[in-house]
Amino acid sequence: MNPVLLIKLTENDKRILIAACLVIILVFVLIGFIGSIIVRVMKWQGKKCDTLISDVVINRIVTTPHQLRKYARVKNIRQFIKHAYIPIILMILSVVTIIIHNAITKNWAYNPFNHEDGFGTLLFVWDFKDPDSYANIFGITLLAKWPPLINEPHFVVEALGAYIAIPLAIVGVCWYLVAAQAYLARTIRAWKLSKQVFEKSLDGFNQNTPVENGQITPQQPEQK
Amino acid sequence: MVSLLKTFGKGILYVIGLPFFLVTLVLFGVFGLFAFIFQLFKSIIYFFTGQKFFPDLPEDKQLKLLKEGPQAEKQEDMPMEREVTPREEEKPLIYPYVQEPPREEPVPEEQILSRMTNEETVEEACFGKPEEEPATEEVEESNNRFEKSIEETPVEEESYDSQEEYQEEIVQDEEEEESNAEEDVLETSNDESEEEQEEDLEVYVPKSSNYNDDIFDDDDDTDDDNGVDIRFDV
Repeated sequence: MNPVLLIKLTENDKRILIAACLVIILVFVLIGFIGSIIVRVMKWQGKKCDTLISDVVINRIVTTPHQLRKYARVKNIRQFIKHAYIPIILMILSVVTIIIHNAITKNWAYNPFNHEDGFGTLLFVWDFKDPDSYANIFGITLLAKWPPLINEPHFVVEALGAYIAIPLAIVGVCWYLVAAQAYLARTIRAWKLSKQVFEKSLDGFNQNTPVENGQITPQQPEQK
Repeated sequence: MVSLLKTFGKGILYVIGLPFFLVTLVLFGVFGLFAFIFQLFKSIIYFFTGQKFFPDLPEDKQLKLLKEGPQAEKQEDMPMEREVTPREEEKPLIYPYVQEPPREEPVPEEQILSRMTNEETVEEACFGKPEEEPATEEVEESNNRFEKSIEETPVEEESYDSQEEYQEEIVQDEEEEESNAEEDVLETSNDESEEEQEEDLEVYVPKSSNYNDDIFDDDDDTDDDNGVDIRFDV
């Protein structure tokens, strides 16, 4: 007999299992919602591609899918550069700030995230390395209690460089990722359009339809 | 409930696809960064060649040709040039350092003649021609009287009783003329003597005086190598 089938669950175990399942379902639903939002945002961002290439397509200057993709690629890169230059400047500023800080303090091994004279001084820091916070349950080491707080937010003058550099870097990176996402969305849209715009359909076409004077005569509806 | 389950299913798919999505995103980001740097160098070259940051693609040029005609293409090819309105095109170009003389059109002869005869003065050009005031009655009367008086005044003619008197008078006149000539000669000789005197005066000979020595003498100064003593003794 399979030992899994022999496991007898208590009422408490059943409750825990149901709660765990619900939590997992909720987490996936949440991920699904977030994913749907991202997809919608990307579709909205991709619409910009239509604006960039519509004139050329409508006026039939671009006549093949390959031409369209090529034109759209150049236009997309240009649009991306327009979007991305500000976040790139922010990131460069962040790096320059850290370099200046290190040059002044003459400490090139400086970690700007540390909680002594870095950006960590502004955050709550818990000591997850504390062995007393963990417990061994059925051979698995699990967090048994909330770890001790080792840092509360406080201002340190020496960390001024990190206070400027880290927010600039975070904003710059997020902004840049959004710009990159828009670029990706436009590329996908251009790929779709290159297939869709030049699509040929034979729906409703019948080669046996009589042709008179080079024009197809409309078919008469069958009388019942 | 069905939609919730659909979302749950999507959630599972998104979790599976998330790493791929993130990798693609990062790749696009890195590619974009390289494209940005490449474009930066390219734009420096464009800047020094006077072109746009993003020059028009061949498709864009074709589109402009379609929309605006061939003139738009020509204007676009000229770098760093502002748009010229048709009115401005008609105007002659003004070069700040090259000043051409104004073109003179040939003036017809009739106009030249009219200018010569009826040329206006500066005052007339500025303030207009002065209107001739009608002469008053008093002025007219005075003019008439003046003319009459001129007409009425008799011309006094010298009359001589005899030929001898006439000759005597002629002789007297000649004597007077001679005396006048002599006086002129005397006057000229006097003038010459005065000029000579003036020339003599121009040569300045300074007279010796006792004060000259006093002026250039520095009796009060003493050469004691301490500079000049400029104290004033009161």
